[in-house]
Amino acid sequence: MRNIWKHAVLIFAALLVAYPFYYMVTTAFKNMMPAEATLIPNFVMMTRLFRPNDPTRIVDGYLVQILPFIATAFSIFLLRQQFLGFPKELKDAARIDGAGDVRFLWSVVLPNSVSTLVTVAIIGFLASWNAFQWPLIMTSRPDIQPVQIGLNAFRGEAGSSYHLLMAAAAFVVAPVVALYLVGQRYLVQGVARTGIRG
Amino acid sequence: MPFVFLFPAMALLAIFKVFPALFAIYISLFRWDVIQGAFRGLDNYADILWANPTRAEAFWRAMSTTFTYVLITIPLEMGLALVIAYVLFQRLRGRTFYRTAYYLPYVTSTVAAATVFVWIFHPQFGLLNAGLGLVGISGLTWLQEPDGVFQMIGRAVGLDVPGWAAGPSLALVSIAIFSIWHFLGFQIVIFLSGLGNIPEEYYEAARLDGASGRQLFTNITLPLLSPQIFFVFTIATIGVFRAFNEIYVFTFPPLLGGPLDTTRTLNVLVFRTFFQQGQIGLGSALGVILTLLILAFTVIQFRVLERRVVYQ
Repeated sequence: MRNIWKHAVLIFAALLVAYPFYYMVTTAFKNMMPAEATLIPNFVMMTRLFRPNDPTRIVDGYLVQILPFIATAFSIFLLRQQFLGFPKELKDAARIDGAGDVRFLWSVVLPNSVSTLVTVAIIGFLASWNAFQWPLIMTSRPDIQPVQIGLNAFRGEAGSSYHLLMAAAAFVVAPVVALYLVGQRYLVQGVARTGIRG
Repeated sequence: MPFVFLFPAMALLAIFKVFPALFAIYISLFRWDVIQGAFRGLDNYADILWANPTRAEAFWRAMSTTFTYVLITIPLEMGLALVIAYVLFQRLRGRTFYRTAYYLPYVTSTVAAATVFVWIFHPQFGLLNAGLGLVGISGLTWLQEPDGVFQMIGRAVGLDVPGWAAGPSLALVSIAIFSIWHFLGFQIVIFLSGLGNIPEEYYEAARLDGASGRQLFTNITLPLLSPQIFFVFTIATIGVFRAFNEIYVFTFPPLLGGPLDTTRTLNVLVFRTFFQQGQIGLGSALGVILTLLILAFTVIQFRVLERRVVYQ
């Protein structure tokens, strides 16, 4: 459930930022920092700012898992690619009809970007469903830990009961497989266009 | 007006991407064991590269493991992907099914997939040894085997292979096998999209000139596919540098990077140093080195990507 909210925010933020790029200077904002570069500093930052017993529960809670990933350079890049395809005349026509920036974004750009948005949403979902390393170092309470951590922890409990372990793995994989079979077109499209590798 | 739109995502990117990248360099200049200590300048880097024998040994070992991992994974993976993509492209019956099947592992999480492979590689109950048992090969311990593969082959045929030629450990090869299985579909998709862009006329013209199927492949397909090949090469190499989850699942914390440290890649060493040993300053210096390595390949990759992207 939290993931869905996260993606609503993620898409909204990415949408907001990709739009002006279409009109602004064309030099792309290339954020090339890999996650490895920010892992340790983000860890230090989060554990320093918020003590473990922090009542706001930012560390070892949901927020710590959500915040660093809301704005991703990847989704901005993907949407920008899409927006570059919009003819400038469309914008001028909308302005003459009295539509401002927000109206143009909502009524013209948004309906025409559905497939890219779906791609961004699916890839974002996969990224958070499959999240492992960051929650591994930031969380310790089972009730807020994501499913991959749970599966890994279950390996210790299941021991050599491989039938149980395989059942657990199947549960973890099932939603992804379902999503993939439904949204295959969007996913493959996004990957072929940008080349992400999980 | 554009700046109002820009603000939310820009602020988040600044806080969680741009600032940390600089903060990482700052941390790497200090003695930083759990809490910040004395300023050390570049001493952390010196320790890692040569000054501290234990650290330097661990670092160069990890570097060698990382590049060995690249070497045993990438050529095989790319070769397989190229062949499969080429076959799938030839109007094969049910090719949509195959494409889906090959791509599926790529979207499943490395943790779940690796959990299944822990069982497949299991020395007693595993699928792989059960299969190999049918052809008379038994007793391989896969993920728990620190011995080099050349050494093991040598032993099997009665040759004494010297230590320097022992080769990558069977454990690392096992991880490479998993990695190839997991990422193959991604490469196939990229190659397929590249194959789709090659005009059919080229093949027709070559066929009229009497070119054989093999000549078509080496003289038309390969050269025209070179942007995709190069692109996949850089992406896959970066992917191997970044590999963490599967190694974590396969080798598990107290032995993380085992057996006998033969699967401890640079990224695993970073995690071990900063998280398990609490040496945040040193870990950060290692992280900066890893980042530079990744960035070098990213820059090359962006060059390729820029040429590939079509602005309508």
